[in-house]
Amino acid sequence: MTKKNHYLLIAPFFIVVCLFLLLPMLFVLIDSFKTEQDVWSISNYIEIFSNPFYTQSFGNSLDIAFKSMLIGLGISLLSAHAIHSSGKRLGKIALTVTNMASNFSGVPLAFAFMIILGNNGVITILFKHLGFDLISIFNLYSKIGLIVVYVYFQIPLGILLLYPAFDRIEGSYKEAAFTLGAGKWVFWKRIGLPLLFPSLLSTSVILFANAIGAYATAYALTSGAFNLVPVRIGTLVSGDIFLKPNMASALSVILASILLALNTIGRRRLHEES
Amino acid sequence: MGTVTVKALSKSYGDLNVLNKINLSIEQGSFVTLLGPSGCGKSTLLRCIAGLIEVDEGEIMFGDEEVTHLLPQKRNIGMVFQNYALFPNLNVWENIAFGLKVQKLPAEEVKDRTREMIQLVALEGKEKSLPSQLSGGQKQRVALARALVLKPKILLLDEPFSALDAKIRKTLRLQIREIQRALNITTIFVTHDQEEALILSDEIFVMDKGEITQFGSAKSIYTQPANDFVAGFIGHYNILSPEQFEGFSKFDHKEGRFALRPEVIKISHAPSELHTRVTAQMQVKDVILLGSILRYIVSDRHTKLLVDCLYEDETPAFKIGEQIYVHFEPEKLKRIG
Amino acid sequence: MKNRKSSALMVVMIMVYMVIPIFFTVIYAVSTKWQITLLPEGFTLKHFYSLFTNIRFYRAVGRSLSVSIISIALSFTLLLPVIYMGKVHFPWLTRIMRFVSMIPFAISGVILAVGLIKLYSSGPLAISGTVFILIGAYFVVIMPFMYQGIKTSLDNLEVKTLVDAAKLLGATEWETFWKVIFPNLIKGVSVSVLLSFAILMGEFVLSNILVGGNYETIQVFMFWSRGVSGHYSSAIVTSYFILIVAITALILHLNKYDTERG
Repeated sequence: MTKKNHYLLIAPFFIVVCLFLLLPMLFVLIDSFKTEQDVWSISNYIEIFSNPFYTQSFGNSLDIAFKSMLIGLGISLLSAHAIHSSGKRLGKIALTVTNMASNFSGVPLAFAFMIILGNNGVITILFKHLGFDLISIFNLYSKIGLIVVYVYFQIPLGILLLYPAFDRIEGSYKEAAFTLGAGKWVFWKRIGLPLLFPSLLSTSVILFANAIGAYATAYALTSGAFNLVPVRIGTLVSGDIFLKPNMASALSVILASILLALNTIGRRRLHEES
Repeated sequence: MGTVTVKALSKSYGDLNVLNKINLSIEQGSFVTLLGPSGCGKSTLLRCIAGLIEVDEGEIMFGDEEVTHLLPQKRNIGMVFQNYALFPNLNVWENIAFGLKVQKLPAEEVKDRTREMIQLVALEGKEKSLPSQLSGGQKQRVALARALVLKPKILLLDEPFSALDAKIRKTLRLQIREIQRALNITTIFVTHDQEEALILSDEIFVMDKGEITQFGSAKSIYTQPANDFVAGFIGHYNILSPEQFEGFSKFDHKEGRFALRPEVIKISHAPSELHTRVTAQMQVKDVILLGSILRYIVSDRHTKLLVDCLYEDETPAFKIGEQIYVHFEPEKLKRIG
Repeated sequence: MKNRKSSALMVVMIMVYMVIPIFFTVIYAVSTKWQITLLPEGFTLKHFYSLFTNIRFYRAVGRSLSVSIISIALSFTLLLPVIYMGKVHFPWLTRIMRFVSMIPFAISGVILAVGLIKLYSSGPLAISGTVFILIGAYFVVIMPFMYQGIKTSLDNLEVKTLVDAAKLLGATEWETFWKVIFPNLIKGVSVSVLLSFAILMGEFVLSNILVGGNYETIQVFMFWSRGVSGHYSSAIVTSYFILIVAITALILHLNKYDTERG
């Protein structure tokens, strides 16, 4: 095979990547610096930081992402550990269920939670029968509700990311520590958690990025009513009420920067360990 | 005290019976080896003694104290693992000092004892190195120091040298033996390498399929194998049935299995003059140089034998294809079945 | 061991938690009415009946399956030469690819939609609203996962050594690739293919914004159905889930069978 043939074989991939990734990226960037009347300006960006409508969307997105990441990470950590120490058969079943659950996000998940925790949800009714009015403290279509739903899809991902780390860390390090007199707590404090830390960091970054960019779940749950960045971008570009594609581009640039930063940190850490 | 007694110990994983009513007893200060092929249960037995695996049945005693269900932390043992298990986030000093810190000993004592150990295993200058920066031999010395610094009553070694290359292995073997003798600590060593077992042990327990098939001193195991398995595992025994001795004079046995060491068989150009000897005429099939040993593979119509001679003359005395005579004293033939 | 029992308990609790939404969705799909009572008022299959007699459902499933399969196949076909070349001929290519494969994580979902819609709504390549823009977008979405899968697979095969060995035996590179490397590759890539498949079948934002009703995928259809009734939506979700699980199980099973044979 000649050199020319070599290049011919790798070209198609890069052509597609250019057409469907790089060029769009470039245009988003360029358009973010234009007003809707096609004039060069940074007014979009100024508006994002001054208009409470947009600052609130970033506030909400970051808040929900952070809280759901924290809770999700905690539960994933305990779950991954439990799965690892529960025996081979149960562990295998648990991982299969986790894999299945990780597919259950977006529109189906939103609908499922409406069925369970909505105004006429199964659990809502259950509490009502028990004399407890769930709706007074919990509204599925509010920030709290979104956090609860987001936590749900963070957990399987967190478990699948953290579980291999437990595989590496338990086993002979634990045995050695035991023979040296250390109990479980001492082991985790001095050896286990320090060794786990890089994985925890990169997992938390991935979960956070996942939550911030999530569109389908929020959109399906609130029909675009709740003010989140991805939802905002979506409505601005598909012209539900206001068609402002350049503003959407500006918001996208900021969101993409956040995601890029997060993923660079997260994946570099993952690379470091392997 | 430092004696170890195991009574009727059994362990199964589902249907698989890994240890079957094991009995053994080890004296204070002795170095014993659990020897056997992969899957014979030796590592499992070691881990039961360590407390890392729960036994199904049976008893384990350290001295007068029953430890069968005692946590490993409380058994006062030291253990060295096949893959070292050095804590990657701690350096050499911290790894060795780990157990001392767990016991919350005063800082001065921790410092003194750790330094002492580092000198004992000759790792001065490496205190701040991380395990990833050490060679295999160095890692194993750290693992040893880490276990010994706690002055355990019993030292357990789980195939500690299998990941190391031959030269390091030889050096470390002798070092471990020296240290063990100096500290007079009861030591249980697990290996599949019979040469290692013979060199190091006061007593050897040969294991096969979850049972102890023979135990005794290195000498007794080597010269008096109790059965086919041990004879096949230790040394390079010729194991034969009576039919294979058809070409031999002075062989009277009609049945049984017999083991014959390659080094007790003599080869000569002419038949032996010693009439007590069992003799046969054979042909040299192959000559193999093993370093200090010259191994002849000889055969006749009924059987094939390995014969080992000391490699004294640079040119082997017997060439391939030559007709020669083999002979040995009848007492050298051990009946094993 | 006490430790194992308490761990097992926690594992069971977590599994129950993960299964609950799916479980109640399925029950809702077969209920007549379940608005104020603790248990469903009655059971019925009428929601499934009306779903399975609706040709729009099958069209949606068909579209999702087609676009997913085409995108995965395209991705595999285009990525493979690049990764192979990177391993055997151009080391600099591997470095570029590592960077390129990470970009979709930053330019994900709605952001990609913004860029694509601008670019392709008009002009010479006005493919916006057609299936082609969706395939292009999906190609980008799964690219990191397909890349990782193919790369790991080829890494494990030690491609360069194999190619060198085959060269010494007289084979051309082309022959070596098809006879030795490709068969082993298929096995290793199956996990990535499954993952990509699950991602694409569950993808909503791009299909909603880029093509919407012009090429209604299963997720868009699902979203639309909330206007019919919660029961109807649940029937769709249940069917969708069974489909995904079945295809995943099938591919895993085939993969296992193949490994055992070979």
